[in-house]
Amino acid sequence: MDQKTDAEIVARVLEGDVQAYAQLVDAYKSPIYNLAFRITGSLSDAEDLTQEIFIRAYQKLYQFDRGKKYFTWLYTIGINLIRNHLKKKSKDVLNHTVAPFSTESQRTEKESREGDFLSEDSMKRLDENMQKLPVDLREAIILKFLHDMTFEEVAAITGNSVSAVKMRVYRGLEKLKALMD
Amino acid sequence: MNDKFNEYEDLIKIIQAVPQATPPADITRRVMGRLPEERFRLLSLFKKVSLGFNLIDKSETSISMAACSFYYFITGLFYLIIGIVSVTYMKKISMDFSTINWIGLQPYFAIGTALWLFSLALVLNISGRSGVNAARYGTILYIFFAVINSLLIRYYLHIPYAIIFVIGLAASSAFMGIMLVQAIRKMDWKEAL
Repeated sequence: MDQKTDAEIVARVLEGDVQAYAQLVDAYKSPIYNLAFRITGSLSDAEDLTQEIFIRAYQKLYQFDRGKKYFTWLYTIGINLIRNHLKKKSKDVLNHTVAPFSTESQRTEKESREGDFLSEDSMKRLDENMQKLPVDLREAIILKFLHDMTFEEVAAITGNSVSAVKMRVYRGLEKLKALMD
Repeated sequence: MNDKFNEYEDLIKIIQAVPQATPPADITRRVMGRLPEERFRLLSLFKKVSLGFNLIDKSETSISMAACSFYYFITGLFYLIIGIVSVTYMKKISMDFSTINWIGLQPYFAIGTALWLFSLALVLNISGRSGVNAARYGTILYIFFAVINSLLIRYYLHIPYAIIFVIGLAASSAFMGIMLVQAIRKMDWKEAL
């Protein structure tokens, strides 16, 4: 969905057409759900967080600057809610054990751009090691590579400078590679 | 892609190949069912009447320079109203200015503080990064004088429990100052560059 369409839907919702909001939820539910899932490592948390993120975005919709990109604004809300959620669950997260990939993959689609050449074992190890990264490094890597964003977009969403984001991505890859080897 | 990421090309390929998780089919319905009743029209109107100050945070993590400037303006307005009301009251009761003491000067201090905060609001809005620093130090100066003023009032105030009044005055002035410094801290610095 393009920026103009998003802004038009937001305008309709603000004018009182609440049902129009469903179009925004439909358009962004998948990336938001994946963002929450990959950062928290839990499908049930991702489900709850996705709902919370869209409800919070709805409550703050009047604050949205229609000249800006809706998805950047939505991701910012999402990242903050996910961070708060992880803070609350910090003890659990420290002891978190990732569910076996086979069960997680029951609800995943093979939409890989690289085809199926990567083994399920690689994916499982990646999932597990991703969860071992500090949250700030994890979210930078997820936004950059899983959500295919530019450094500038990641910086706008996380509230960091572009150079700080680059550093986090680099450090994240460095740590992840060490964990994977 | 930056050159320094080349050494992680294989790892990046694995990350990018991670399959997408599919959200539950009924998640849109569940979200729509939980939407609270909102009065968007009133809130939008409030945004419009904020005179272009852009009161509302642009993001969850930062506030705009205009919003920060507006906070200074509002705080200044608060002091100005207190000052004007106090001066008017003093004139009405025909206070003898020959007997004026530190307490009698308070309305003028309030007006002075208002002018000081208005000037910080202006400096903040028009002078870029140096203006932001000036506003920060100006606010610290305001906190310092507000607390000193409260302590001096203590010597001229001969009422029971004066100390409670003085502590309240100092604490509320300091609190407002700290909130203003916090607003600067949360400000979107990219606008000031």
